[in-house]
Amino acid sequence: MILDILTFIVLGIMTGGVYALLGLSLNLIFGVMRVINVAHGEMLTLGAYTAVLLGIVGIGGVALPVVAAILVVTFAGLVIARVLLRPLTIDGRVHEQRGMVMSLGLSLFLSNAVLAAFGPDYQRVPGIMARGAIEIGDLVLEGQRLVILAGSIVLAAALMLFLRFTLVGLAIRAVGENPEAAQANGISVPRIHLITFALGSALAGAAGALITPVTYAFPAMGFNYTLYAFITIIIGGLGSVWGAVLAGFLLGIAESLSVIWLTTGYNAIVGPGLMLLMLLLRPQGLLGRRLARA
Amino acid sequence: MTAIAPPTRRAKTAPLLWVGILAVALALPAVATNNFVLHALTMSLIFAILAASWDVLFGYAGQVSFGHAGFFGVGAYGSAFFSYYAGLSPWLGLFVGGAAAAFFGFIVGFPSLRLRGVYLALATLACSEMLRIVVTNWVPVTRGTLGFNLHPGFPYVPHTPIAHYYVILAGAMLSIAIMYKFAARSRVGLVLRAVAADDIRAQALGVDVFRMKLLAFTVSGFFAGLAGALYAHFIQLVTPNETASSLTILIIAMATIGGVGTIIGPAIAAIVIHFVTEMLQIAGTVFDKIAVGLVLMLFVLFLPRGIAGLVRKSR
Repeated sequence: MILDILTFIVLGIMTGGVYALLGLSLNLIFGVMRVINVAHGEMLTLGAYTAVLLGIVGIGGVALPVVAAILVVTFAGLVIARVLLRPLTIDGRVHEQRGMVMSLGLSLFLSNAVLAAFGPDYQRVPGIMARGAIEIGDLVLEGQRLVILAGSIVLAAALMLFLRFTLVGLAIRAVGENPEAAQANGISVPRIHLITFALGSALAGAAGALITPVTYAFPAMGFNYTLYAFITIIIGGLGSVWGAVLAGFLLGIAESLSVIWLTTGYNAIVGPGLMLLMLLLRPQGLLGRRLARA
Repeated sequence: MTAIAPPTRRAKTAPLLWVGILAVALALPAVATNNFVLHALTMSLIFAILAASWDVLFGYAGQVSFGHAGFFGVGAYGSAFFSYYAGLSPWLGLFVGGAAAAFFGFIVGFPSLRLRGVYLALATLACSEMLRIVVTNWVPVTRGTLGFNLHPGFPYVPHTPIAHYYVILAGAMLSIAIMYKFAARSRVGLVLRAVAADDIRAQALGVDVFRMKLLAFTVSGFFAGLAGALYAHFIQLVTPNETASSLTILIIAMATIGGVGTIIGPAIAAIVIHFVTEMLQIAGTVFDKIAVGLVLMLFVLFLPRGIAGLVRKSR
């Protein structure tokens, strides 16, 4: 029993890494542009299908698909931010409702475009260590899941260091705090919006390339990840960076552990249930600031 | 930040227009003799009720619902359970389905006491997703993904596509007219718009804001549920797919393209969009939903007030 619990916790930490990465990147986009990006999961889908395409040509492994996914989705993110979101931006913030509906349209468009291009079937990609596993006593750690966890942590840490220690990172945070003051200090707000959206989307794309060897890719995969990214940032607190990381791991563990008490199928209720509970009891999230309402 | 409807003026041509629309709707089965086409038209009418009911909540009360698939599902399952487990008439089931969804809407509306905008939208999404998970897994009652099938469709009505079309046409016309009257032509609708514009000021002026929001959720839920109940007895099969959030996305797309805050605009857009995408499917394309996504993005960019906004401007 204790081993079971331990196994589920470890599994939870591994999925939690992906939730944390998705929550972190969605939070970055929301924090700077104030856009409710319902198409965030579709960025993950694009990354996953980049890995699928590479797999078809015979390129596997971890690094190459992830780098390729980052490049492809960065480009997609730049185009989306420039063409679709900039016209909706007023005073350094994207119009709340139009931005949300725009991302709904984008999500509908992208998931069905992938469906038209690749068909409804699950697509497999060869992972580098898919066959390997590490055993610690009776605890079995699958190699591929460890790769996902390590990749998520590296990417999340890279994002945080970038935001904390570079000039562009500083500019991004400044625009997030107050776009008008940032503009007054010589920061180009539209350019920061472009960079932020591309960066956040690229991280979701990288997550897509990382998880595909385990979860496979299918056209509608994005929606559920969008939902879980939102659950993560609601639990952690909208706008809170560390909150997203903490909430991602907590959500992963809670969902994984719930299998012990809930029958399979029903355990999917944990995520939305926790989100609803947080919204009712503590809308600012675990680590969010009080003013994060409305 | 809002999509509040400006006060609409009653045009002199309006009654004539309505008679015309009604005549066309009544005459359509004579032209559309193909059963597939008639089926698509009937489904379009169900979508029209859904898009209009979403608009009651968003276009008038200013509350974003990401949970309309849930309302629709409660109506469909509620009505199906009532006629199957209680063995009572599906005609009564329509109202039971609507009432069940109205109650669900009332419950889902409760977080609006504390939450606004995005937060409320996510709360409604959470409710709808939880419902989907329950109906998928509660196999002894709902039969899970296999779906719940109903043998009699509508009793006392001939079992033909044309009869079904007329039944649902009557339901849709009545529902949309009532929603229009409620939201666009009543004092309550006016108060709802005040809540959407500035709820703090409305509160200061003596409006019970929370009660008004709950009322909007209940009314919107009732009609979305009625659409679900009509759907259940028309298709005679309810599956968990009917509660999937992709349906909500489609409803929001239809309402936005039609023009929020008009009731009629979303209803007409829903009919056109559903019918055209169905016809595209006959033509064998997989591009139907891609096109809806693309059109929606173009509307948000260039015509945020939708088709109704265009019509209003040209007057």
